Parts: sequence; C-alpha cells; structure tokens
Amino acid sequence: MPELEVLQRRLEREKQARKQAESLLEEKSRELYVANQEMHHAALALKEQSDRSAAIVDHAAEGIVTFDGKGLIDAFNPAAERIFGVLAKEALGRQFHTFFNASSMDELLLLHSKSAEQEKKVQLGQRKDGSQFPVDVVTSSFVVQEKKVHTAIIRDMTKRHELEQQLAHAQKLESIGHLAAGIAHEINTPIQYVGDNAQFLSEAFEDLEKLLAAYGELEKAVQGNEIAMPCIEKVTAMVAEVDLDFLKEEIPSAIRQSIDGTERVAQIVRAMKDFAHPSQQEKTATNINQAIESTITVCRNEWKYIAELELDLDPELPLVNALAGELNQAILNLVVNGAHAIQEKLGESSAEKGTIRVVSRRCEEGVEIRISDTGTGIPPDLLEKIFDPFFTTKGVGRGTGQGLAIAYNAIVEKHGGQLKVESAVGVGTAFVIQLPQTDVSTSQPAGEVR
Amino acid sequence: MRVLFVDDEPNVLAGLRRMLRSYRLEWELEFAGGGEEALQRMQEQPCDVVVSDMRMPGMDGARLLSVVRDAFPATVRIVLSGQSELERVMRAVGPAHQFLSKPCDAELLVTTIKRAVALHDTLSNGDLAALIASIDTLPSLPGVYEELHQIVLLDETSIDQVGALVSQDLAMTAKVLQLVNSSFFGLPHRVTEARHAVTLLGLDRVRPLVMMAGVFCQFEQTAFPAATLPRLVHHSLAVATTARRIAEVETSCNQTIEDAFLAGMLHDLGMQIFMSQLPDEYPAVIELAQTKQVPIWEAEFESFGTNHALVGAYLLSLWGLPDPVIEAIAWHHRPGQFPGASFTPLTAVHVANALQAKHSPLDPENLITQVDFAYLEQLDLTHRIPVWQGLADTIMAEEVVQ
Repeated sequence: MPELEVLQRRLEREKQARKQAESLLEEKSRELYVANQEMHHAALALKEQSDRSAAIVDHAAEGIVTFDGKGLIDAFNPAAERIFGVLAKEALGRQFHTFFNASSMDELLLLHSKSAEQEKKVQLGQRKDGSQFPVDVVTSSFVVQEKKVHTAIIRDMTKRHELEQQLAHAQKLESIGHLAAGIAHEINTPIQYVGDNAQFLSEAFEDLEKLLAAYGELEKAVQGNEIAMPCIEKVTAMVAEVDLDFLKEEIPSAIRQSIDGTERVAQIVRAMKDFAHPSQQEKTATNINQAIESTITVCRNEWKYIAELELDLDPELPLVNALAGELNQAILNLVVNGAHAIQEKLGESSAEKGTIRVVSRRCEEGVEIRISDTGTGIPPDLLEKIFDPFFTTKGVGRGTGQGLAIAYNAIVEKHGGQLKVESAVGVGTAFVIQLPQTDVSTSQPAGEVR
Repeated sequence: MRVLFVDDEPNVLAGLRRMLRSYRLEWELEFAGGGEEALQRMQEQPCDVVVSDMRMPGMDGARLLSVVRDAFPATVRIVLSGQSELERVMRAVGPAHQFLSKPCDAELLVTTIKRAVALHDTLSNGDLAALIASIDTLPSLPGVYEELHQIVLLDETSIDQVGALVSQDLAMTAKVLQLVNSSFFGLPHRVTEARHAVTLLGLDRVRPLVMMAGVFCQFEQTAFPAATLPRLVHHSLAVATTARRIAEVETSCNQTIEDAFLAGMLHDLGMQIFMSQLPDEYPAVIELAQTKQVPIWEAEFESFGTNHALVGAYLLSLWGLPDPVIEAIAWHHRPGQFPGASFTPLTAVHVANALQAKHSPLDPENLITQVDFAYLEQLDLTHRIPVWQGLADTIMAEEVVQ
C-alpha cells in the first residue's frame, strides 16, 4: 500500500474521529446547557417555594415556633410575636417553656408525654407583661440532617374561651327563663285556689254572721222569757238560706286546702332558693338528697304531665364536697332529658305516663345518683356523642344540645366524678353520676378549657 | 246557664266551686277533672260556657276546645291557664274565644263569662250564633295575607312593616287585638290599634302566629267580586279615621277616641263574616238590597233575622273586645236602640258611617244614609253636625290627594 494512501486514510480517520469528537462535544455542551437551564429553573422554583413557606409562616394566624432538643428557640414567627407580646429577636435563644406556665422544659413536655408525637394540649401562655392566657399548643418533631427539630403551633384561645363562656352563660339564662316559666305555673295554680277559697271563706263568714244574728235574737228571746217560736223559725229559715250543711262541710276543707296551697308555694320557694346557689365558687359539704329533692321540685312542671317520679333516696348518705349549683343543674338536665325521652316515646298529650326514677346510694368512690327513665332509649351508635356540646336529636326549639354536655362538664370537670350512661332502645336510659366523697378540691387553673 | 270548668288539679275545681257559690242560683256549675271527662259531660248535656285549663295530662285544653268547637259550636270557650309562656297558650289561639290567666279573681272570671254570653240573645238566631261561635279566624285580603307570609320570614323585616300590613286588614286587626287585650297579657290599658298590638306582640310571636294554621287565613270565596273586600277595608278605614276625628273634637277622653277608631275599623266586620260563612246565601241578600233599594242591613234582617252589625259585634264580644267597641259596632245603624245620655264611640261611628259619602260596598249605589236625628237630639248634639260634616269632607279630600 503506497504511503500516501496510508496517510490519506489515517487523515480520513483523524477527520472522522475529530468530527465525532466535535459532535460529541456539541452534544455534551447542549446537554450541559439543558442541565444548566433546568438547574436555573429548579433554583428559581426552590426560591419561590422557600419564599412561599416563609410567607406562610410569617402570615399564619397561629404562632409557629421551632426549637432544638435543648428547648432553645430558633424561629419565632410574627403571630407568635403578637400572641406573646415578644419580638422575635428577643425570643430567639430563649427556652421555649418560659413562654408557658411551666417551670422547666421537662414539665412542659410532660404535658405532651401521654401520647407520642401529636398530642393536643391546652395550657396557659404567658405574655411579656406577665399576664396569662389560655393557649392551644400542638407540637411535632422531625429529624433534619440528623438533628431533631421541634415545631410548636400555638393558638391564642382567649377569644374562643370568652365565646364559650358567653354561650354557657346564655344557655344558663335560657334555662333559667324556661324554668321560671314552669315555676310560675307551679305557683299560679295554688295561688288560684287559695284566693278562691279565701273569697269563699269571706262570703261564708258573712252568711254565718247572719245566722249568728238570728241565734242572737233567739237567745235574747229565751232570756227574756218571750215566745221563742218565731225566732226558732227564723233560725231554721236562715240555716236553709245559707245552706249550713254545705258551709259546715266546705269551710274546713277550704281552710285545709288553703293551708296546703300556701305550704306548696312555700315549698317551691324554698326549693328555688336551694336550687339557685348563685355564684358559688367554693365547694361546700352538700346534702345530695336535698339537692335532688329541690331540683325535682323546681322542675316539676317539666315532668309532671309526662311521668311519675319515683324517689329512692338513701337516708344514710354522707355529705359530699360539691358545688351545689352546678350539681343541681346537672341533675336538672338529666331529669328534663328523661322527661323529653319519655314524651318522645309516648307522643304529645298522651294519657299514659312514663316513669322517672331517681336513686341515691353510697358507692365505692363515694355517692352515686342514678336517674333512669322509661323513654325512647339511645341507639348504641349515638351513645358516645351524647355528651358532645350541641349534639341533639331534638327538633329545633326543643333543645340546644347543651344539656348533657353541661351535666358532663359539671360532674366530670368540676367535681372529678363520673357520668355514665346505660341505655336500651325502646326500654329507657339510665344516667349514673358518681361523686367522689373525699375532698375533691384538686383546683384547676382558672382558664381551663376542655 | 250551664258553665263547665275543667282542670286537672282537684283543689282548683273545689276552690272555683266554693268561690262561685253565690252564683249557684243563676248558674248551673259543672266540674270535670280532664278533657275526656269534660266531653263526656257535654255529651250528656251541652254547656253554654266551657272554662278549661291548658296543660292537662291526656287531652289538653287546646285539644279539648277544638273538639268542643266542632261538636258544640255554640258553646263559649274560655282558657284559664297558669301557663306563663305565650307560646304554649298560643296553641289555643284558634279554638279559644278568650284567655284568662291564673291567678284570676272572682270578679274578672264572672264578668268575662257574663260578657261573653251577653249578646247571644240579641242575635235571635241560634244557628247563626253557633256558626259564628265556631269561627276560629276570619279570612284576610289575599294580597295582604300573602305579603305578610313572605315578609315575616325575612330577617330584615321590621315590626313596623308587619304592623302596617296587619292594620290594612280587618280580620287580622280583630285577631291581634283579641290576643293582646286578653287578660293573659295583663296590660293595664286596652289596645285599640293593630300597629300597637303588633308591636306589643313582637316579631318573635307574630311569626309563629302567621305561620300557624287557624290564626290568619286567606279569603278564597269567588261568589263576590274581587274588589269587594278591598273596598270594604277602604270604607272601614275612612269611617275609623272620621270617627276618631269626631271623637277628638267632642271629648278629651283618650279611651273614647281610641275606641271610636277601633269600632269604626271593625263596624262592618259582620259583612266579612257573612261573605265567608254564608257564601251561598249572602249574594241573594245583596241582590235583595239592590232590588228593594234598602240598606244591606235591612235586607240581612229580612233574610237572616239579624244583621252584620250584630253578627260582627257578637263575634268580637266572644273574643273579649271592650264593651264600648262592641256596642258601637252592634248599633251603628240604629243608635237609638241603645240608650245613652252622652257622646260615646257609638255616636262617633254612627255619624262617621253616615257622613262618609262612600257607602259600604254592599249597600245599593244611590242610597243616601241619614244620621239619626232623633238620637242626636236626645244627646243634644244636632248642632254639631256641620262641624262633623266638615271633618268628614276634609278626610275625603285628603284621601283624594293621596
């Protein structure tokens, strides 16, 4: 092979190789360009995402705070500044627990220890000026680059707490108004017949005076040895005119029924006094049987057309340390609930009546009150909802769905007792209140929110 | 007269029996412990008046009174309730003629019963008396009724709007005044204006009243020209306004002035009763008045033995409206029949009705209504006629302007 030809071929290969290299280079640089472009976009997207995250954190209504394993704060958003009245730069580096009513991180975290990562807890926050307020805190933790990061989302519950208190107050007022109407009815009835009887007695006395006058004349005639016959005839006529037999029979019962009537009114007024216990803050030794009796007297109008009420009260019952007003309210709500359940079963204006039974007994923990009715009963799937605020199966205007929730709150939250329910559809429902007899004054923070 | 008292509390019945002992010669008193027992008693022997408690086990007062209304329409039905919630008492708004609240003293109870039955005999037509006593409610102008139904459901509706609407309708006016003036409300003064009554009731109570069956209803009779009812309302308003103006210049007694207005407003309510209750017979009566060229009340008298003035007064007396108003309505055509020595709402309504050139829509067109000179002579008031005529003319002129 001539050398030229060899060289030419080599050159060709060189050219070929070069071409290949060039196109490879071109291809690579295009790839590089594309990659570059993508990276640029990614960087932009990343920045946007980070901006957005920051904006979300900055503009969130909830306080968002992150802290490290030692509890030192490393992020504090504007909402948190607002809630605690502290600037972020002041907060950074401070211990997270110092913003709450906890003396150490451990104590704060103790509140979270019940369940693992996402336990909702309510406690008191502390502002810069030292004032305390109810907060709702949700914490979660995760691991970033082998470091544990804790995030807390903090919600100021002051407003909601106020609203809840207003609502509870409004509900109380409404139930008092309703109760007052019932009590008025209970009192109006005896007042009606006491008044009627008094009217009758006054007229009857006038009649008797006439009769006595006739007797007086007779007496005079007899004393003066006059002829008594005309006077006797007058007396006889007068006896018939005033219908003496009727008066003799009716006057005693008019008096008796009037006394019964005033006693009835007095009983209702006494029960009202017992029931109300206005603004009682401290628990006092309470006679549970008396509380039951007062309460059912006060709400008699709610059940008397619907049910017979049977009382079975243990006379040996010990006194229980309780907030009588709250306890009465709980008993009231359960009795009224029972009456409504019976009415629902029997229908409006039924001639038949159901039975509400209230039993008090000693039990292991202390005292047990059992309030049972022969009403509709509660279906099993609703049993766990009945103590939820606003849960109601009653029609509009019948109930606000607060009755059982208030009873629950009064027994469980305020007295550390238990409120259990047993029910069978079509048979009836029994609510069992258990109150610990020992001193139950484990006082709870004033801002407690369930 | 037989009066039946119904209450589930035996002590209340015993008290009433003793309290009413002095009426034992005038009245036959019956007592029943519940709704079922009361009906049984009435089946044995009907009563003229039933006075019933509201809440009773089994058949309650509202149910009892509706059954009584259907089975014994002529019986006067009165509620005597210790209930303090209006909402509960309202259940009996239809079937009860009147409402008394416990505690109720002897005097009020007795006068209420006496007044409710007082006009019964003047009606001199037993069937018609029963028919009227069975009326729960009178039909309203369809337009007003529909509008009321719509606006009470709106949040932005004010009580004034409702009051203005109610006062445009005779039936609604009568009904709200019946309610507000019942002893249940315990108002110290009687209320004579529908607007005022509606304000006192308040929107929360008017709403269920409007929505409840048997309180208000719509006029559905087609036997009469559609314009009849609106013209009747128009005439009534004109007479009411004139009667009030006349009373204002004749007396300083506010009660008389207000009663004159109310009586003027309701003086022809009886026509509406005839139209709704006797739709088959009444057109012939209207025709009779036309043929004979006599006032409609004379034609009514010829056909029914009574007239719209007495019929309206009877229903309103059952509903417990005040006596001066009832008298003014009953005798507004013939005031001479009701002797009196001084100016009363009757005088005002009679004169206003005569001086208003626009007749009630059922009178013959060209008939001239005269004031009763003999009656005015008796009161020594004939010289006032020109003044009153002037007032009536002014009101008519104002109407034309409007």
